[in-house]
Amino acid sequence: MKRLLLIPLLFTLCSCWDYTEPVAQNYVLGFSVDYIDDEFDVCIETVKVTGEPQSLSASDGIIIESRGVSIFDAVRDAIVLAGKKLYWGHVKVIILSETVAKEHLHSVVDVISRSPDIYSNVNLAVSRNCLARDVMYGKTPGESMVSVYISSIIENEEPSHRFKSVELWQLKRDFPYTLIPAISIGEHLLIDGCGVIENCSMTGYLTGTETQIATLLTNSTLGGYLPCVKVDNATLSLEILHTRLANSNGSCRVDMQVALLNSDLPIDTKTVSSQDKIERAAEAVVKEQIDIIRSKPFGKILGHQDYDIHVTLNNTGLKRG
Amino acid sequence: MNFTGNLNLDIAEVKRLLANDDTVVYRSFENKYTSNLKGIVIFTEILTGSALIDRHIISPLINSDLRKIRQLPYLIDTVCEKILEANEVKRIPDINEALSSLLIGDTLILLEGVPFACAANTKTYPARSVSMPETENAISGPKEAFCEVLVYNMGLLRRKVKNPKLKFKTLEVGKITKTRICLSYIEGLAEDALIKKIEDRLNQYEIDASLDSNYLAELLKDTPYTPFKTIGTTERPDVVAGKLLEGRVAILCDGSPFALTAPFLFMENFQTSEDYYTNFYFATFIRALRYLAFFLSISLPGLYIALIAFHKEMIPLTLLLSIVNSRDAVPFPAVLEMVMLLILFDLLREAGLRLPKPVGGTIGTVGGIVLGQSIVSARIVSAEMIIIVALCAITSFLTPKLDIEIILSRFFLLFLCATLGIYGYSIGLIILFVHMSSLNSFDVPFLSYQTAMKTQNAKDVYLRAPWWLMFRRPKAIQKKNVTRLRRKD
Repeated sequence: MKRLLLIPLLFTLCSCWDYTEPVAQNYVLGFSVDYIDDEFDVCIETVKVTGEPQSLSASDGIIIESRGVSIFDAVRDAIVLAGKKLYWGHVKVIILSETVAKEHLHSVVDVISRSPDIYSNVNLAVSRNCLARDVMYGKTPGESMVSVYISSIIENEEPSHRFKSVELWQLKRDFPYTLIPAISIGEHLLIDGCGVIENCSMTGYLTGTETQIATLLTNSTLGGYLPCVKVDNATLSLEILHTRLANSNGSCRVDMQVALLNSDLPIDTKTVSSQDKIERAAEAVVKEQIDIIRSKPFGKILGHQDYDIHVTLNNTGLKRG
Repeated sequence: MNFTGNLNLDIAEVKRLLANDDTVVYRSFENKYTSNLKGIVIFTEILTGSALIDRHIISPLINSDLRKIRQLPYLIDTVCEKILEANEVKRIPDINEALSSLLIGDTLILLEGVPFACAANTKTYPARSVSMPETENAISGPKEAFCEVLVYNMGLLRRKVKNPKLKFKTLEVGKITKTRICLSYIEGLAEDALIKKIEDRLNQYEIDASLDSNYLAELLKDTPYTPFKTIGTTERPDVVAGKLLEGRVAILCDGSPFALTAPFLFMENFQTSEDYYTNFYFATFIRALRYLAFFLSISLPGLYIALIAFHKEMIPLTLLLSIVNSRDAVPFPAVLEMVMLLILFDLLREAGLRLPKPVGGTIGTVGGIVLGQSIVSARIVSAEMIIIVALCAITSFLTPKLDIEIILSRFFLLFLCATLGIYGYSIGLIILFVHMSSLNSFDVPFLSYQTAMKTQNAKDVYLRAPWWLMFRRPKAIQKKNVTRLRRKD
């Protein structure tokens, strides 16, 4: 008899009684958070339902603006403005303004993390030299919805390595230093470089090349490319094929295997001397970038150890003694 | 009540019992040569050949010279053994038993002074001939199916198993219809306990009629209220022969073209006769498709509702957008829409089945294409919903033996999914599994082989292994004589 009592409990003590028709909700794809006049300003991008079959890229977005003393407050107001319940399960990107990233990141991340609807694999980005809400209204080539466009770029960052994607859960994993992609507005939206989060507060930016070097040396990525290596008045581009880091006695030996990307070269790369030149030039570029990063307030991101850089050029068809 | 030997009294009694039956013919006779032999021939004209009776019963009784035989006992023996030209002549003292014999096509001969009836076999059957199976079609393999005549069906089985160990035990079921049923099994393979259990269960009830074998199926079931079939039905003699060879028992019922087989396990729903007539790779692939189809058929409506109503995050955004756009102007909640469409599909299926074949096709066209397209255009239902129901329909046709189970399980899971989402779906599957695990078919667990992970068991469950690997009979059914294949020395 006691076992039979378990049956009603199976049905009543579960949290699955929220049947909601799919058309009764607005689907949030992304939102921005600004802090203006002591209030949080939230711009929420939702999909416009037209009743006609259409692809995601052809769908229009609707932006709902709302303000409140807290993010929670602002979001509640947004529901009133939208006229339907907001569904947060498909949020792809959250864009934070520079102010929010510097001063209110902790509270923003706390609110979002506590929300059962927003998943922790949502991408984060920071707006550089503009408000986050301006990014939501920014121009995008091809895509009609900003959130879809930004998340698409972030998810495909692997070949460029000029910024590093970060999902909400990675903030905790990478504590105390985390890099989040920086978005600026030019002719259209552009993601290049990263904002550096140190102890839950943004302390500055890295350019695209600096981001590459920083991520290489912190073992976050193993590849990338060096676009401007000058050798004998020629500018070469090198692809980093593989990086190996080995720590010993406070210094870090970095072995980098690179390959030439240029097909039409003004120098003869088949000789040992020119290859040595290329390798030394590449090492110089890396060291220069390390020095630049070290000079910034968040230079500790690279740690305190010395880096001993060794570059090896691959795929030249030359045998070495 | 027995015959008295007084011809007039006996005829009066028979006539009283068969009053108002105008199909019974009474033909009095007296031998040309001796007045010692006089009596009456009684037969029913709808189940006998009258020419046969004229030529081989009445004519010899009248025209044989029996003057030399004066004593009655010798006369009776002579009549039974030398005069009546029938392949079987029985002496029946009981009037009711004699009438039962009459009503299955025997001819009764009552003689003056003889306290029993002679029943000569003159049966001819109004029956259709052996035809192609209608519910278990196969591209390769035998094309014959059972018909409504018990002896024909027994003949079909005997032709498959030409072994004296194949036994046919006939019983009578039906207080009014007196239907003959036949228990068929192979001696030495079928367990004695199983045969006794079936007989006991058949004798447990007194029923008016058994017009089809399914009357018996419901009486024989271990768990009467379960929707799952624990007794198999088939119209193919080769399937019955295959099951008999595994130690099962078949029950044939006069008037029914379907044989029952017991024990019947869940896995048998996914086996077809054709599996054994085609390449084992192909048969295994098709069997896997059947399992997948069963799973999809019961799960798709429920899972779809659970995903779009509770777990939208699990649907890719593009698909979700497509669903939302197509449902934008639909006036009904998704779950109601699904229930309506499933019922509509069952209506169409039922209409198509009952109508004559040419009209049945029209129902498919009108229902499937015209109605389907119109209700989507009119925004009464969404296109995705039509796709789900159509998929359910197609997948359910892969396991036709599970039709009732699929319909009920589908609605059960749909109800749970519509109230509790994926959690409800999980609970539903657990309940179904627990229920199925609790079932038995004549003391054999219904899910035997499905859950026991032994190689030999799996060879004809999820796979159809080549014959040379399936060298044992199913152990759950046949415990003693398990080897069915071995290499000759």
